[in-house]
Amino acid sequence: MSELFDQFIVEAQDLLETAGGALLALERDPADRASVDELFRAFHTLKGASALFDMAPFTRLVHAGEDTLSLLRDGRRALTPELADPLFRVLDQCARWVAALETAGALPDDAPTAADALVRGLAGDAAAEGTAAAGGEAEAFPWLAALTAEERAGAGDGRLTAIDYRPDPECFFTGDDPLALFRRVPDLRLLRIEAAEPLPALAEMDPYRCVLHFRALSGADAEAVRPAFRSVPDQVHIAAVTLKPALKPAVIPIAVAPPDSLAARMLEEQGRILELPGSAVERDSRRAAVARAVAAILASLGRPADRRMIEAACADAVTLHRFLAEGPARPATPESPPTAIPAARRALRVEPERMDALMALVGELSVVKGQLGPLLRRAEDGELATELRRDLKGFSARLDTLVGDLRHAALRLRLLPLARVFDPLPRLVRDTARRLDKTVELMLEGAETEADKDILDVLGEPLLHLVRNALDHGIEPPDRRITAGKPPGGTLRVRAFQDKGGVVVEVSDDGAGIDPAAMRRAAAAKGLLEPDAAAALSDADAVRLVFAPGFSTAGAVSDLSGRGVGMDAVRAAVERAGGRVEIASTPGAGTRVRLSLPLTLSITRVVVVEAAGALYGIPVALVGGIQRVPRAAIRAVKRAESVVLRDRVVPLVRLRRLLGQPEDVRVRESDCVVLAELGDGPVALAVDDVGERADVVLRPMTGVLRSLRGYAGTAALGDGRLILVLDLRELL
Amino acid sequence: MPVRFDSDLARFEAACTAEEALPLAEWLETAAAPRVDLSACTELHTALLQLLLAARPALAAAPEDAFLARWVGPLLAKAG
Amino acid sequence: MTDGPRILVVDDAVTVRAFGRRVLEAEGFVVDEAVNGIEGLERAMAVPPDLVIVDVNMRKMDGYTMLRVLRRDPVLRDVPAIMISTESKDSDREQALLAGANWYIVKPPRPEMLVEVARLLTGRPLGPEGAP
Repeated sequence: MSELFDQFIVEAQDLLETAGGALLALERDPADRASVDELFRAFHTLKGASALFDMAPFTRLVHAGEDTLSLLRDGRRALTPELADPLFRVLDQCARWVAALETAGALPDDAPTAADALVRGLAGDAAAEGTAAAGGEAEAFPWLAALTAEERAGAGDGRLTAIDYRPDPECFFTGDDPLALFRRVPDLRLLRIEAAEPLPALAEMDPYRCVLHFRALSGADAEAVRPAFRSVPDQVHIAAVTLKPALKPAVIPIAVAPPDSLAARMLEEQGRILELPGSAVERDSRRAAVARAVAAILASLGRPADRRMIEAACADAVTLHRFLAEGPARPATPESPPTAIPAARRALRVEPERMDALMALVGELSVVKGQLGPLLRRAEDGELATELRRDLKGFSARLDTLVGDLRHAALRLRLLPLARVFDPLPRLVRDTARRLDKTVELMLEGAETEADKDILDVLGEPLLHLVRNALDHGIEPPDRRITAGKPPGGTLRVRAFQDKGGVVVEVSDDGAGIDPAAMRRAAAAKGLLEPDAAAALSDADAVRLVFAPGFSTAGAVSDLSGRGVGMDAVRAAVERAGGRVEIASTPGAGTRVRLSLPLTLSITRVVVVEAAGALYGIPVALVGGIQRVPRAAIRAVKRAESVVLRDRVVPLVRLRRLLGQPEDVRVRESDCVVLAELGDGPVALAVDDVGERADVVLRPMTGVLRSLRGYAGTAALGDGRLILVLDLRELL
Repeated sequence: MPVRFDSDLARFEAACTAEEALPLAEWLETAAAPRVDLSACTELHTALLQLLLAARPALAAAPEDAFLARWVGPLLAKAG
Repeated sequence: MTDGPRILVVDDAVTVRAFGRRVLEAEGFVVDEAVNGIEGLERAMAVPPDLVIVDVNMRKMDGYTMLRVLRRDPVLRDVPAIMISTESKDSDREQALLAGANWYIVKPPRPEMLVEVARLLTGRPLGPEGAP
């Protein structure tokens, strides 16, 4: 159950994302059939998947969405922004619910009322168009969803009247003949006669007790059907329904097998099996058998696929068909567009090739380790030191290379495409532009560019900020643009690419740009700069003022300058992660902001040292050597100490003193000294003890710690202990 | 008699009503290899239909009445 | 020959079982037999097969019941199953799938078709003639 539930969470997130993308695409091009279908399928799949769990409001809501979408699909409605709005609201609500399900395991208490309101929102719109969907009624006839192909063909599509007749078991005594009533139903298209309860053995059967249940479809109006059942109004349910044209998954070519081959037909059949009615247990076991059969068929065709992927694809017929249509287990083709990479949320999804590379290196490592034994034996046998040293050097070099490769491979595991931070942008632009009555085309480039997961986390917020600002203050309203001789719709371009050792994200617009003269005036008016100094600023520097703390915090200024609030926050966030921000703007033509970030949030090799009982890290890059220095070798002039190391006189600094800790009262013969090579000369740092070297992910200080000077950040050691990494340049 | 019972074959003729239910049930229980002939049946009462569905006798002849042929015959012919 | 996929043929007709055995063993499958649903379940539980081929009409326990029980068994629930019957109507096919079959074959099966279905459902490569 819980595994299935987890699967649902992940699937629902993916589906909602897909649906959001499709809805955006559809709003842009209402004739986009593929997006209608995709949107419809996403809702349809969500409906089916959610129905497996106790979340009726969720199911009801996506069901209503599906009904609305069926109007689009059948071409009875076109997608207008007025119709898109409630659909977006439905998606948002579902996303919030999925988040709640993930954390709390259940829908919030207000879910039923929230669902009702949204369903009314959808229905109200449909009713306004005079095309009330029969969605609610379809609920009463769940069997409609499980018609066989044969029955469907017999019933036809479109508006029908559904009849659900469960005769009173005692009805024979009052002279009723339920079967005979159906002779009077005009245009009977389907009649299903089933036992309402398991039929008892003949010997135990009461021949005068009616145990059958009748379900039927008629092509006539409900009003024309009703008279046939005039004598049994309390036992029958009659209503108009719209039978959607059958989802014909068969029209999706199954990529893995030749059309109409036995394999293709068998695969199609597996999809149909998933749609068969039955109890949850029955459907579950059928699904298991289908997954195994599909796996076998794919293997047989020489296209084996990951079993877990297949199992996920067997959630329902549509998902399975899409899986098969897209051709699973194709050997990875590099030119295949990396669209629709589902964002990893809960776990890091690792490309198999990267995992393989890592495993290969681990294999290599054990080979190299195997060489250590013979070397050891030779040393024990008293082999000549010169030869042994040479081979040891070779061994050490191989090991170094391997460790480097391993670190690289491990880092690659953490790389994720920027699509993750790009994903929310289309929706943000759509909503903001609609709110501001502007027309804005968003162009995303380089979503496949990769960066470390932590960098992406840093990037997300500033990026949203920049995009919002560009829409709010950069791109002008259509009338202003027309006056300025520009096309009425603005263009916002977000572009990512790899630069040497880092990743760059540019946000550029073709809006009003920033007026340097206005910036100078504002700086002077706010008292940030003397009027003379402000006047002396170059245009580029004047524009750069937007990043100055406290500059762009007032709305009035931002309207004047063409740039919004909180640009200093953007700069601060990026710089904290070791990146930088640049801005270029041409008044009247637009603005470009460029964020440059390191590829990874610095993995730093540190030497762990101890002072006054606490552990600190010193970046290895700064360490020129570590040694014990006898007390006698330390010269003291007043409190300033120095020591001669490698023929240089090096000032000696005690870490305890630097950190404001009490002096070490223990009497020692020698001090443990770390030679730190700083830009302006070496410094000997006396510490209580020196521990291991460790590769750590350096995390910038956050919260109150941020104000502490002298620390580069915090890091966790392999055993989980937390250390503070020193920023010696700042400390000394 | 709308239903004529032989040792192993029951012939349904014209309109077969609920009154036939008890005799049909008894016959279905006792016949060794019951077979039914519905070719001349013009109406089949629900009570009879559900007995046939429960006992699943072999269908010696399918109904010729249009309604029964379309909706009931296939149900009874189903291999069981 | 003994390490091929294991197929359990359940049919009360000895001819059908013999036919299955001859055709499938020639292709390297290991064939097991049972004469009704109960015996079929007993065989399957003793030695889990890679595929079961089940007749509809059998005494003691019919094919539908056997498949329903099979699908409830924690070990055997996902074993691919073919139902085989003389009936060719869609409704019969539907019944078979409802009971838990993955595929439906109308008797008498063509040997080459039976082999191809068996290969597909056990994940063995198709013969050189491949899919039709």
